[in-house]
Amino acid sequence: MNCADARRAALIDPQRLPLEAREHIQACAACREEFGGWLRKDAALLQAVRSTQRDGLAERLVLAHRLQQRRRSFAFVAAAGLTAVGVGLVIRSLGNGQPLIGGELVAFANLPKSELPALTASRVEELRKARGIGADANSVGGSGVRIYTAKWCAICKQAKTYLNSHGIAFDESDIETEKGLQAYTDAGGGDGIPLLLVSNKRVVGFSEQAYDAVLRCPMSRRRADASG
Amino acid sequence: MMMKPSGHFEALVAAYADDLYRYAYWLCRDCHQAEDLVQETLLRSWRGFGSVRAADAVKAWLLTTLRREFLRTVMPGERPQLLSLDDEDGPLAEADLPHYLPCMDDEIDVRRALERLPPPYREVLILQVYFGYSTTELAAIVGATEAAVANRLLRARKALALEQAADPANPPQAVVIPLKRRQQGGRR
Repeated sequence: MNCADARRAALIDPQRLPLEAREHIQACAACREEFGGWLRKDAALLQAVRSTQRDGLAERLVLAHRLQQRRRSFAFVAAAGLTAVGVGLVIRSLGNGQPLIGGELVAFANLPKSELPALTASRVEELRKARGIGADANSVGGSGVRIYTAKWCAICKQAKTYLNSHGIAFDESDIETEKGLQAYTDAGGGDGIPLLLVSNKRVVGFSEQAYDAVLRCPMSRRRADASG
Repeated sequence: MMMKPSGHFEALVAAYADDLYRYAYWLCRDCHQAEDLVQETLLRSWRGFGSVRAADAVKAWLLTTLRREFLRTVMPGERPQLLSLDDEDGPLAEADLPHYLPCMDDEIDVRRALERLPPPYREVLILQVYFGYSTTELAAIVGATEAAVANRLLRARKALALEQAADPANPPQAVVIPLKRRQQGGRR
């Protein structure tokens, strides 16, 4: 290897000289001196780059990361919320006003019903959070028909009158009692009373047409049982 | 060191932010753009750490990501600026090889000369001198052949020498001294 080749190797990468170049530089005083100079220049270069700094960079980067994480969390929650609202709207449109919670959809919209008092509604919300929505929605009791009512509810009285007049046996839960309210919540209640459960069907509110439709099969079966 | 996919962003910043900033600064020579590049690189890279294991691989990956980000945001449509036109010219002739100048050791002069270097030369020089990458590794990072990288390094040092020699702060006779010494020393 000659001086030019050794110098070329040193200029390409002074830290990784090929063996031949190293041997030449050790033997050649002029190349050794120049090579030492290039190494010093690289050291000066290294120092120049190392002195490039930015105060507070790490703190700003960590802060930016946290803000991004928060934005992502917010976006996720917002997306989840919008999805839930969307699904709710679909379910409502499918069910014509009847939420699908622990029971088959029954297509009766806006039946006359009594709204829950504010205190009762908030208690239902608490129970929902504590117990889960519709935890025992299909528990309708031994009669096969259960109705959730309150003593002050005129529409509940109409519903009970209907059931009695049609000879339908039913279990009643008073949502004014703690046990009744828990059962009402477990059944997916919360939209008002009366709430009627028949097998896995649910009707919120009362109208004769709705009850006729929902109770037709059980009534027929009961009538058949009675006649048999 | 092994990075957890969902591990500590703070640890990532502590380990690499300063080096990434140095590389970013010398790519664009603007402290604000450099900081933006580092931030974008770390935030983007954070999601993809599952496949990267070794610390060396992490650093090279981050540098490559930062470089790509630089080309995408700071220099959109100007990629050729980071490609040396000399890549296809072949190695420098013996007469073109630069000589070491004593005036090159001063850090301030080096910094000034480094700032005036063409971007392709400055980039490979910094990646080699500061980050310690070999020509093979540099070729992978800048997306060029080893020969092209070697040529850029050679020309970078020559350009640096010329920049420093042309700097009015340097005495002009400094250019002559080593040439005389070369002639006296002769070739082996």
